[in-house]
Amino acid sequence: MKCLIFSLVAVSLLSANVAVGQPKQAQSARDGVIQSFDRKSPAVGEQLPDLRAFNAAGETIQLGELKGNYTVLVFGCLT
Amino acid sequence: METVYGDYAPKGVKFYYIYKALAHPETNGYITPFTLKERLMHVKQAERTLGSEIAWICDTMENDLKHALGDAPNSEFIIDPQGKIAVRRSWSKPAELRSDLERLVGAVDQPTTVADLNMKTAEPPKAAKTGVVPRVKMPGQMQALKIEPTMISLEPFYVKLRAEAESSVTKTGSGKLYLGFHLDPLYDVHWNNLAAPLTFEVKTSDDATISPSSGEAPNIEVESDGDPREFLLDIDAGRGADSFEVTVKYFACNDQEGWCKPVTQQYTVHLEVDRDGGNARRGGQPATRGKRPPGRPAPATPPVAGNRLMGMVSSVDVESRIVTIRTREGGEREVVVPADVTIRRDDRPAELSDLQRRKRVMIELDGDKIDDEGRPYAKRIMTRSS
Repeated sequence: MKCLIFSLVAVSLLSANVAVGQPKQAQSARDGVIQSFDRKSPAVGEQLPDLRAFNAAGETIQLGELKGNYTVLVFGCLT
Repeated sequence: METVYGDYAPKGVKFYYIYKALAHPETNGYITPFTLKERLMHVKQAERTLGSEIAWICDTMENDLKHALGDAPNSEFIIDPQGKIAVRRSWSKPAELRSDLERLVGAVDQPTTVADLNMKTAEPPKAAKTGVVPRVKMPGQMQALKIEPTMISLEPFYVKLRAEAESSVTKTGSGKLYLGFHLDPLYDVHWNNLAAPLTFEVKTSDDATISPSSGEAPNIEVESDGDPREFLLDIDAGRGADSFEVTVKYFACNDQEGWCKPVTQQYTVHLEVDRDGGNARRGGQPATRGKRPPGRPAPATPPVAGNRLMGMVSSVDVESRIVTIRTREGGEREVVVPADVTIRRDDRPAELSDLQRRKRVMIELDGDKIDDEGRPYAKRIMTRSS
């Protein structure tokens, strides 16, 4: 399958368990991204934020207008 | 994703890719755009190279969508007809997306397969010759700094500054500072090494010192090249200094249009981490997908016991899908990891990015299959996190 060209955040994060006596475990970059996403992104059931963005022609669009159909949004970039 | 689009777009589902800040600037030469116009040029590049019919939405230059929707590089959402989040996922997974749409919209009688696709993709733009000027060796983990181009002319920023610093710089004000001047492939320009080399000058407040405060790129024998001009500096920001100015002068040349002109541009560099600055993968040479960078020797190839490699993960290049493993015999081996390889960590399904350095790994190889660089292919990977 042709996949969207995307890249993973390559920064390694170290996290220490709070409980006394538990060893520190190296956290993969992916784990860090997942945890951060779970914390920051709107939850299921919440309204999509009505943010301003642009279409490929540079015309302003509003995310709040994405109604009436099911819509799939996928983030990505060239690298 | 394209197969899911092909099946569900006719059923009324809308699909959009959201173009965001680069996660890995410098890969394939792409540099963080400075303006919306340049980011839209990136969208055009993405349309061309992917060959997809899925429409693009472009994030603002303040990265509002990225921040509001979870700050992940490849997240995925399904929005219901009332505009509410029906599904959210930190990483796009087309197979799971299809399952979600089957549940929400209905199944497709004959799902489209990859073999059914006829996407017209294109290669990234070919930049000028690279590998001519050695890359600087970074002292360690560096973080992108916020920069602010000062538009003192109508000329585009053919050369773009990337500023990075050790974490000590943003914490204590002292440490190593990286200034990299990169040619932007959007403008198809190259260095004219027959002209005067790039020079830069730094101006700071009275409290701060940056050494050296000016510099000149080396004279290069080759007539033209596309390598960045890089400098490592020492900074001591003193009390309260939170930014400095950089002025750069260079000649930019475009053979196709037949011009070569002197350019002077300025930046304000803030001693503040740019959370949207991404992470440049350098490895000592410009990265090219799946290929060994010039000048980098192949790792020693220890014998393989049976059809398995066992050892410790030395490095993981997720984009090129290459794992380097330090084997029990002490040598290093690069292995290509195709997208359909089964990977398990702690006996659970995992992704390539889940492989952790210095953790034990077992790679089952795919027979005698090797790539152009002589690297074997993985068939299955198992690793442990402890």
